[in-house]
Amino acid sequence: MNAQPLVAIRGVVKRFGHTEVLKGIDLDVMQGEVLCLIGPSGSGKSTLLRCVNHLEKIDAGYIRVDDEYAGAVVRNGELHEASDAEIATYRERVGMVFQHFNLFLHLTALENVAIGLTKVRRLPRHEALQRARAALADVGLEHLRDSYPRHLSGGQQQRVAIARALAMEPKLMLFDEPTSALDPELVGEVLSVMRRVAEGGMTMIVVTHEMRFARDVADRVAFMDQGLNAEVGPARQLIDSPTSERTRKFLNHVG
Amino acid sequence: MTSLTAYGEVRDPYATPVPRRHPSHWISGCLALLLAAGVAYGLATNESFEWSVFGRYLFSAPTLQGLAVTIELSLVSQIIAVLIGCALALLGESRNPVFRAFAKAYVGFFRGVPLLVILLICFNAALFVPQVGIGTYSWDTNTLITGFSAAIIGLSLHEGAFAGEIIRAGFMSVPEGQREAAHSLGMKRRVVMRVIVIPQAIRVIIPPTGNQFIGLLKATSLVSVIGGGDLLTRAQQVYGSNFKVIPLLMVVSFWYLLIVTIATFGQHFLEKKYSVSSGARAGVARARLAEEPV
Repeated sequence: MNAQPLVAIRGVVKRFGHTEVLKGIDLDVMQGEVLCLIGPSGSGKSTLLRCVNHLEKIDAGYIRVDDEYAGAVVRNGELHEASDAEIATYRERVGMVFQHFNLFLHLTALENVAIGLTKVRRLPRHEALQRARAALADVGLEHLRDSYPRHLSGGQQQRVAIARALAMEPKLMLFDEPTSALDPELVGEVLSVMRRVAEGGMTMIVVTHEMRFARDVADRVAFMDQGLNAEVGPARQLIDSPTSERTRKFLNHVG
Repeated sequence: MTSLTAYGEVRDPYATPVPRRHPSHWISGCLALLLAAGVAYGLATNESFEWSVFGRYLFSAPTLQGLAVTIELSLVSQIIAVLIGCALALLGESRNPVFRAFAKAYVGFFRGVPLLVILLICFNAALFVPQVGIGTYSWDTNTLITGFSAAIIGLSLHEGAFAGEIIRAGFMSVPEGQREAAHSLGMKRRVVMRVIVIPQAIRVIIPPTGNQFIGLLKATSLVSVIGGGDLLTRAQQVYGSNFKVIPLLMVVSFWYLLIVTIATFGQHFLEKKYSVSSGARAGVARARLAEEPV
């Protein structure tokens, strides 16, 4: 494995008003690695994920993905706040899957997947549609390409959302509690798609409460607590035999 | 008392409830019809309505000219108002606090001051802005401000504030998650607006804009106070010389009713077309894909 991590999170602090939600996070993710973020609600794991995509602006520290920085650019050896265009370019290669899917409600499943290709990657329309169709087929939904999101189940919507993010050929995929808004019987289909994405070698950061998924699919798990990265370790080891008392307590509650 | 049906049992297993009778509906309905007939009879036979005069002026040249001006005022003002409204909504969403404050102040002012007062201010603009000019060109405000142009300016400025609020509400109706998803794909702010926000907001914006236009059609009658040349202005000019006040006001009412009715039909059509519940839309998705840029 390459010594240089694909994602480097260094001393990240995030405040909402006077509340410090992230209190200095350090975390590395290697190329091809799957990292699960677990922890009680309010621990800052979703906020950290949103910071990686610069949907939240960080107050201190930096996040680097490959050779680009979240919300910042290097000029003369210094980090400077990025312009809108630079931020957009950064996000192109960081895919994001949301808890509530956030499919574009006025577009069909196929259009949802294709729109990033035409409006951001500027591919010709027919090529974009072809790729979108292939991406939908990868998540097993090609037959529903002309359906609007409101006619799809939650599980189907989330699979379209995953296809939409993957179609952009990202270097990194972020999943923000992708199964938390789903009916229990629909969780499995989304997890199995994510498992296949992981097996394909995608680098992933997944915020999740699905401990079995974390244990079986993730390479490493980071336990976050009160805005701090409390414990990081190989997935099985951390979940089966956590070293810290707080991690053990949390796992007993969810598990 | 005991019987077979004491506990609410129904003897016939296939029974249907016997419908209730509503004799009171029939009685009150007949009374209302009688009243309406009485009013209609009164209107038709009341000498002061002078229906022959009504007929004579219904399609007369001044009436039709005034009607044309009313429609023109409404359409032109509505178009300018929507443009002002778009600008206000964009300023209101701007990250620059000065722009946001300007949009707020504009809306506050034009919502707070009655249209009639605004029309009078526009008509008398020459009193506080005697000259308008761009670079070396300049004109006397007095020659530029006629009843018609003051009407256009006043109506547009006033309606623009309301259009701005409608458009802003439309933007706000699009869930934040839609913007976030678009940004996360790497879309720039302008693209997000054009491709994601506006197409969804338009459904929320169109129906109240239709209502606004219907209100504007009637509000144009206010320009008669500054001689805007609209339907009511012309009617007033006519009855000012021949004193046939009521028949001419009936002519005016007839035309307002007609154009408002037509506009209401258009409004219903638009509301249907842009309603969110549309299983039909899914059916045309394929056809749409073939013609629309993704």
